[in-house]
Amino acid sequence: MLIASLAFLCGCGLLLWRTQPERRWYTGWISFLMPFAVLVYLGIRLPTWDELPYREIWPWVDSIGLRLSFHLDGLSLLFTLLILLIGAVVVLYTHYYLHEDPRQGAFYLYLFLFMASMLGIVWADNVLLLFVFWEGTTFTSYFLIGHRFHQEGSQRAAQQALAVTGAGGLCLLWGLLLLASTQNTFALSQMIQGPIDLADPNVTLALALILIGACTKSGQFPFHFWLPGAMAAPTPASAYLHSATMVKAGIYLVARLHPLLADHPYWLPTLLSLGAVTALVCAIFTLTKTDLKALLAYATLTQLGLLFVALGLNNEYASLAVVLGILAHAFYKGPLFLVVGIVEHATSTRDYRSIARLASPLKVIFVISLLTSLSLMGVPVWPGFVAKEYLLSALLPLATETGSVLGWLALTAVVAAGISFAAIAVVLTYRLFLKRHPDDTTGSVAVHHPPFSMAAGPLLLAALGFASPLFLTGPLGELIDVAAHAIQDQGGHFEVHLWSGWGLPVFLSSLALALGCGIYVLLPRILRFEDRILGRVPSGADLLDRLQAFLVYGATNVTRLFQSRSLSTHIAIVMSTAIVIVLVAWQRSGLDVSTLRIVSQSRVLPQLEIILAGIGAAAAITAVLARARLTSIISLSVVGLIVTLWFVLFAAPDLALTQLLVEVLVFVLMLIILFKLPETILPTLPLQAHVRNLALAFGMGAFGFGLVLFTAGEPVFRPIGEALIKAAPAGAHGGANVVNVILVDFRGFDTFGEVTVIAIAGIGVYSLVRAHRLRVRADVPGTDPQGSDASFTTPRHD
Amino acid sequence: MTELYSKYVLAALTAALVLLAVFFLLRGHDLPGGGFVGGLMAAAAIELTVISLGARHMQARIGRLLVPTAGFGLLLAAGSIIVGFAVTGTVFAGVWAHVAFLEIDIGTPLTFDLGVFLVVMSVTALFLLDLTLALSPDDVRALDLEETGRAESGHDGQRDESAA
Repeated sequence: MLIASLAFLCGCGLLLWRTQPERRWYTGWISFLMPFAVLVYLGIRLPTWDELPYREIWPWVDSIGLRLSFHLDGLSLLFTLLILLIGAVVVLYTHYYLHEDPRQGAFYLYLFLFMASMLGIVWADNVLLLFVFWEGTTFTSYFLIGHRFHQEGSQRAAQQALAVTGAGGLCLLWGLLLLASTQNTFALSQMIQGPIDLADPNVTLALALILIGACTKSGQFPFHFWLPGAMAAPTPASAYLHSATMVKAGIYLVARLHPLLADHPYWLPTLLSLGAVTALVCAIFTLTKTDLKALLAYATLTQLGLLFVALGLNNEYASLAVVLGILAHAFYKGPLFLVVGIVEHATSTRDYRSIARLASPLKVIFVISLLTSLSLMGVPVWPGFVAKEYLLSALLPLATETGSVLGWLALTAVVAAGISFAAIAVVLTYRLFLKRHPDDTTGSVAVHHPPFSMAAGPLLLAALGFASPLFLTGPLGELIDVAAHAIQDQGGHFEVHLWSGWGLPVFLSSLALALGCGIYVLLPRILRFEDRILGRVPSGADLLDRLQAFLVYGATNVTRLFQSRSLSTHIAIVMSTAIVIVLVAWQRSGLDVSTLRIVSQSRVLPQLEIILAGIGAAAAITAVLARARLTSIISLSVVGLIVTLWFVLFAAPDLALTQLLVEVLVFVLMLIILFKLPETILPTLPLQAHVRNLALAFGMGAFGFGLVLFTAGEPVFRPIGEALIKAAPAGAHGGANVVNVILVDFRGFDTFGEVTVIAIAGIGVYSLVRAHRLRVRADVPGTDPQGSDASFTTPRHD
Repeated sequence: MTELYSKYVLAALTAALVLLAVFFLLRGHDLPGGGFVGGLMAAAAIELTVISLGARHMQARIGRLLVPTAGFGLLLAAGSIIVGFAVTGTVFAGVWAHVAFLEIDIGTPLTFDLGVFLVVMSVTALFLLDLTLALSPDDVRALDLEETGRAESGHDGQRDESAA
């Protein structure tokens, strides 16, 4: 059932991708029906509340413990509802937002793939499967952010999001594997039940790594910077991925592991402090933004910080605060993003300072904005208010009773977040829709009216959010109950009360509300302050840019060092590497050189060997000393022919044949080259080059000598040849030539690899000689006549 | 640099070398030889024609075929592996079939070796031919002309066009 849903969503994405959705007026509603159908299907097929969790297991790669095993409990169900419901609304909206975009189909594809990945994250029971889906959201997010790849900053934002969340994903994999090995299972549901040795340093490491993964995904300080950058994505993607669902994946993961790690001494304080710092910093940053999407992005970060704070608490209100926070946030932030998209669509700007009095032309939008902003503000009995109530109720005992510093910090953060939320809620309603523009005398702005279908989605979400308190005694209450129990299995039934009576939480909420409205008046001054001071502090995005530039710089220098344009340097590096590796291996093996003996295996007269060796040595010396190139080449060939003869003497006809042919072909090649070279005398080398060449030559000579001594002397290891010779007739269809049998039968894989390398080398030569664009032309401006280092320079995004 | 004697010797010698190459390839499984040696031998035969007939002539005749041949050889080797896997369930397992009317056995190691032969031959020939062409400015221009579709096919000799 679950896997069928995932397959269906992927199929829908592919279908929309190939059918040019931008040309069909009905695409929006059709695509709306797709996630909605899954939601209805799951609703019909799912067991009753008491029968949760539902399980589903399919085999995949059993050898590494990877199974398509799904596990659907209350927490998963909560996320499933959000993903599918908001997903349906967002795909409907997308069709109108990207109404003339020829790449709308691709956008739909990534959106549906994302939807499937996100559902996979919350359904996966196997940690490896979870990681696969986790990376799935990372990649689809990358493509969605980079959708307008030709626009300035879009690529940079996409790459930064990919770098941050991708690196976090790798940390997460490491942490999950550590946890899986200490718990001895890959199944999450078993992992979190089993007893855990909290003193194990591996568990602490796993905890840190998993937190890094969760923090990068959920934009916790100091990894928060990618999220505002991700606002380069088209607004539907921002609303869906970067507000309602994907950024909550980290929250989901932490909540999922909460039962297992809550007793760890570092778990709760770390979550609490991370969340508090994020909420505090981002609440302040929120006030300094004028771009509506950036405003909402920082508000989202603040809310994510608050959710971490709630996760860092351990009492009966905390898990309710998490669940309510997720629900309320999804139902007000999603529509608000969509509203901003419509406002941008209507006025062609996102800077709220140049927008005014939209209430009369955009009445429906104003209603949506009002309904959701009141929730954002935390006006009593709106969902946002209830969520904040529970968070404060969970937090207050820690701050007031134990008087811990962290508790007070978190309390400050929550109140600051409340103030900031109230201030931007005023911006999103009064400032945008009601206030008269100072320069505007006519009283209205020229706007482009959105079609009703575009507003239908956010209106639905806003209405659902507004009406949600009505369902608290019905299915919604049940859902909240099972979800909260999945985070923290404490006691009996969780009940949500819209109003918990007069008390400190209500007082703090009202204080934040009042202060927020006051701060709104001061916003212009804050902006001026930001220009003067905060604008000069380098942001995380700049630091990541610098890190990237540094990496490229380092890689360029390393490449220059090892891949210089001088052929002799190249050869020197290769040879000395070989020598050093063998020397190190020899040192570590503890092999005693004095035990090596020269053993004669010759079948001919020793005099013949001596004569051959003499000729070879003489030819080698001639090759080095000769002043004329032709003499050198011929002498080299003589050395090669002597080696061939040697193979003949030792009855190795295959080697002799190959060696002979290679010698002939190399000789021909050298002659070709020689024919074209100017007939100058060899240049005189500086002394140090001579010394280097001599040292290398002697090193290589000793290296070769040692290797031959090692292999041809008294056998140190048992030779593998005998076994192969014995196996050849039976194992290879009566092959009598063992050399060839080894090449094509026993070690066929090696041969295949070698042949592939040869073919690749062929392609290399082909492209070097024939490809036009690789030939550097001095007359074309912009090309580097020295050679092409152009591909190694830092990519710039300015 | 077409010499008179090489024209006459060429045909016989090239044919002999190619035959020898195929001979080495086929008997490789039982006696000294095999795809690698055979491939080098065939490359030597091609190089012989390059030296005697000229690089541009050979470029026009076989230049386009070399890279596809290497790719085909690689595919043949991979295909042999896959056939072995499909029949026996083990990758790289040899599968043999007896061809009754020819009185010989044909097996996947042989086709694998044929793949090796083709790759080695064509890549080595490509090295030699392309380097010969690249080292002479006139011939590089010939490559350019060919790629823009204005090559004179079968043009003999390489030095009768004066350098522009």
